[in-house]
Amino acid sequence: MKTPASDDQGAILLDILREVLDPVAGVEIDTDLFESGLDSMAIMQLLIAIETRLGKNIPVREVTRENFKSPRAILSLLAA
Amino acid sequence: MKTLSVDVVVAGGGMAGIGAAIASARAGARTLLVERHGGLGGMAFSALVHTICGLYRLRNDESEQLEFSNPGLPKEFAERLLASGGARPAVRMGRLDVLPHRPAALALLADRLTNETRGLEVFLHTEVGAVHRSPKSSLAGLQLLCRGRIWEVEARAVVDCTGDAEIAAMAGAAFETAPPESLQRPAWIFGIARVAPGSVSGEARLRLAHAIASAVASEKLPAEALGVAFREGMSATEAWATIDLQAEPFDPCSPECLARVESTGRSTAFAVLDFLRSQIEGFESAVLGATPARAGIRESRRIVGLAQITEDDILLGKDTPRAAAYASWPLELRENAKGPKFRFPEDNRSAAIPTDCLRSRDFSNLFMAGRCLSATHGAQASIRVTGTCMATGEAAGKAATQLL
Repeated sequence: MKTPASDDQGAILLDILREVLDPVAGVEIDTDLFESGLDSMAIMQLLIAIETRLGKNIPVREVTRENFKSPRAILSLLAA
Repeated sequence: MKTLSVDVVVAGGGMAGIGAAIASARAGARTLLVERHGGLGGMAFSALVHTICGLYRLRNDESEQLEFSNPGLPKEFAERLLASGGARPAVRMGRLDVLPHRPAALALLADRLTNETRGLEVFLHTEVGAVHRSPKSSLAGLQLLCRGRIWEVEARAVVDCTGDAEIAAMAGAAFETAPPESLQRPAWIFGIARVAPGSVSGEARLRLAHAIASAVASEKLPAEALGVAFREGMSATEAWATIDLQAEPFDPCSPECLARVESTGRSTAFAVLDFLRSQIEGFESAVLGATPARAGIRESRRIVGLAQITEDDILLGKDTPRAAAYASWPLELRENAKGPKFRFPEDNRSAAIPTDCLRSRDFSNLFMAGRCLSATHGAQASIRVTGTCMATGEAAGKAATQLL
């Protein structure tokens, strides 16, 4: 069962992604982020926002295409 | 003072100017092409824009055939660039197909093409100092400046391919400029050599983004480094770094702003390169490969034409019977230095750029092509790219000769 905290985290992550990617891209929980324009510049913005707004520092070994393919994948990385 | 009389003078030797000048001379007009830098190619040479964009029609995936969007000079130029080894075969970046090239080789090909075109003279290291108007709302010619020598050039038609609409601005023709906060941001591009193969692609590319974001967060790199994006170069051991700059407040035609953009770009580039060399696997032996003669400018003045192409025209892939050229690039918005946002046209359709977008509303013999043609701010985000610039240049050069 999800805790309220992780739901908040999900909502904040979606907010961040909608700002970092094109707002018209319509990011949802299973959106393919690379298809939606998550390039290396957007990844930098995303990592910084995750650190400042969610207080999570993602180590370099976790920065893979697999872990960033969708908001759901990023959330499970943050929960791990 | 020296004097010269030509049929068509083309100001600005970028891809639009090359296209305009060759098309004009091939149509039999005595043509002069004027360029301020030491080589032709404009942004694709002096600012090191290293992929030709807008050359191919958009396609859903690689199962669809790669087709040129404009059959004339852009195709001829791309094929000769490939044959000369100055470009490598088109690559797909996300949903877009681009032709990676070596900017110096592009300028070399432009030299060859212009040299072999009869009736075409090229002036390098030459600035336009003034525009002469005639009494009948047309232009009489240009004053050119080269190393302390003044040339008075009389011309029957003028093509403004300056990117910044310098001819229109000096002549007093109407132009538009987006507010400083929405102008597409400038870029400072440099080449890196002796990179270990694979250091800027695949998963390494993501690790690189992580390293730079962390270095900015810990203040080991300036915040401007967040504007950097890497691409593979012409060989496996070369890479390009493109730094988009916020450059606030941005004014692409202000000398103070341009000085700030250049110095910020240069210092960020050196900081990024030092960081890569000392911190990133694969960059231990890296060295500076190429530096630009100038920062890349994506948008400045847009001349008011007899017609204006709009964002909707591009997004709907609108066609017209009087098409000068086809735009086949999405709106590529870079209104901040946080990475591009793309808006694709419906069904990947190409949009027709009407010939009337290449003719000034105010002067009967003033034509324009490239990123300063008559477009809205939104549409300009599509039509500004290299391949489309050459196509509109070619069309403007032909249209200019039809006046003669």
